[in-house]
Amino acid sequence: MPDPPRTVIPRGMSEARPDPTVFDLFAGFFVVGVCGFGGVLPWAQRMIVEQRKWLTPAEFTEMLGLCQFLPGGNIMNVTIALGSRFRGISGAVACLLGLMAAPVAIVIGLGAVYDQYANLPAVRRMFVALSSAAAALLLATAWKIASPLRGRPLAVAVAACTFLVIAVLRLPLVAAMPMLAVGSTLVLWRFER
Amino acid sequence: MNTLAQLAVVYGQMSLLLFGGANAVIPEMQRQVVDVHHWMSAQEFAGLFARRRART
Repeated sequence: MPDPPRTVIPRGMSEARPDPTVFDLFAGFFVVGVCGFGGVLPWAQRMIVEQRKWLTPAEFTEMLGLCQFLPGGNIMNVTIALGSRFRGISGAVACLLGLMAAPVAIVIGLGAVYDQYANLPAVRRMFVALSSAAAALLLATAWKIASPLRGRPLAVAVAACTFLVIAVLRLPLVAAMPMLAVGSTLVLWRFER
Repeated sequence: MNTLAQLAVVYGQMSLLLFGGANAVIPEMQRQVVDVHHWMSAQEFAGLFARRRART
């Protein structure tokens, strides 16, 4: 009787399937949390794909695609998806805690320091200036995102309508989002080619 | 309902509405925190938002 055919293992893969422990998962994401001030995703990608090789680039892209489609913060979804893939629920918890531990501690620490000095006039003036800058940055981002809509009057109307509902009428997002999503899709589908 | 439970409900709801970037729920967050629950003033919220941006 002939031997059953052997599955051929591609060279450089699968010989060592990644098998991180719960501690590995925590440690990996802890470092990402420490480094990733203002944008964790590039750091997470580097750690997962290049340094620890838990996923191939294609697997990572696929997982990120799924996580962007789901509600919730993208990177949170990635930690949970990756953790549960290797170590089930405890893996997911380890990844999430690892990612959050350092930033949460830093933000709470800074908040405590801020509360000490919040009433100094100089500090207060500094925060007025910072708030203005932050608001302006948000406006600039919005302008950049909206600029491809130029030359599409209906799309501009949808954007204006959304602005009116959220910023002027201040309707709850729970009510506004389904209305705007369905309404705008129907309008653009019906009248714009 | 105590404040912790309220925080969990308010932010859990926002998380479900959060598709794409976190900036999309900033107006809703401001509405909930300032107008609905009066947890802080609009100025304080702006300051908090500025500090978040400053980390970038």
